[in-house]
Amino acid sequence: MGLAEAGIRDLVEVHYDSLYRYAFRLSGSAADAEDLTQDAFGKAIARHAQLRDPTKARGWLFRILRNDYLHRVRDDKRRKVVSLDSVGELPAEPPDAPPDIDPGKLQGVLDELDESFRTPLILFYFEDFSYREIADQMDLPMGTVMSRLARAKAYLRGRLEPLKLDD
Amino acid sequence: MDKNLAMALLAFDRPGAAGELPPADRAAFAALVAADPGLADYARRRAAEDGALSTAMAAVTVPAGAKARALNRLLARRSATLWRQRLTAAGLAAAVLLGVGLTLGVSHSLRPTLDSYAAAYDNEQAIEAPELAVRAFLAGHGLPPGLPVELDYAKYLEHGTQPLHGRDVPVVTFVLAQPNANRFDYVKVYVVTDRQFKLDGLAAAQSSLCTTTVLTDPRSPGIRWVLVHTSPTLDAFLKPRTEL
Repeated sequence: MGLAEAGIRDLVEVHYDSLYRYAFRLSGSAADAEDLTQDAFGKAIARHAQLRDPTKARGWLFRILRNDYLHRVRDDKRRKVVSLDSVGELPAEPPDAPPDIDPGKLQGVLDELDESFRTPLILFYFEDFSYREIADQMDLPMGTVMSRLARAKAYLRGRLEPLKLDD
Repeated sequence: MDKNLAMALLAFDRPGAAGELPPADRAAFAALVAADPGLADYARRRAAEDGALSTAMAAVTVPAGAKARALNRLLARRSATLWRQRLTAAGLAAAVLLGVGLTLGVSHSLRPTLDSYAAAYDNEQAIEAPELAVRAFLAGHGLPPGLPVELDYAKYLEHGTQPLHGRDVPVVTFVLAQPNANRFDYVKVYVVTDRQFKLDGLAAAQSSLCTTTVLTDPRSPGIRWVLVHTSPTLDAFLKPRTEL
């Protein structure tokens, strides 16, 4: 481990909450989120020498966590996700008033999405990553990220609105 | 700016994308939104929806104590790793010390004890019976014990090994005082083998003050006796002939 105790405390203090929330939105489970977050910090501390620019610690940690998550779910074929092939990129009209979105319902809709659509959506709404940063995290061209985001947002809107009406 | 393009650029109208739109495009986009109430309303509703989604997305409660648990585990793991590294380093250092100690111990135990009496006795033997001492010395080096020329052991000085072209070579030295010239002449007899040197073409030679004479013995083809002497010839060092 190349990081001093003070460095570890700083890293955890600054990034734990956002990393946990990201892990929770990715996995949909509090237990998995805690494990993923713990492992991400452990790996980051062990490979601390690889981080040349400390200002990029946040993106680096998120990337480690996502890779760990993908590794865990790689062989999980039981998970059912919806296909977004039929969902267009053009979003429907935004509602007149800001929707009242239940975070639990939101998680349910996120869980329906394939990770390749869920991750950009979470990063987009949750941590204000730029398109470039999301593209870097996912090793994708920026245009692909924007396209996936548009389709995921359209799906999200479609799935959340009826729920709101039902309520 | 075209309205359709402005609609597309709405995707960049968010905090995280602040640096992703060139300033000129951002200014043109802002001007178009300001001049088009419909577009402005669309942008406002879209921003409100994004804001609500952002709020809902971030509404994840971090379990109480989770951060402290993670920190404690990470620090404990770091501490264990540090201990493991220290123990490994200490183990390596101990192994090195043990190796050095063993080497020194073995070396020390293999060193012979210096016997002062034996030193005196050996020299005494060389003084009393120099030819016997030289024969024993040369035989001990696996060489023919006798010299191929009858040198006078009354002029014997010493024997031992000396470096010659980087190899330790057995050598026997004879000395003859020249009182009238206020100097000594000497002969050094180097006994060399073809295991140590390439001997092909080895021949007599002469410098200003010394002469080299090379002697062979058909019974010992791999041996040469190289005599370096300060006198012009070896005559003064030869064993005197007994007149009958």
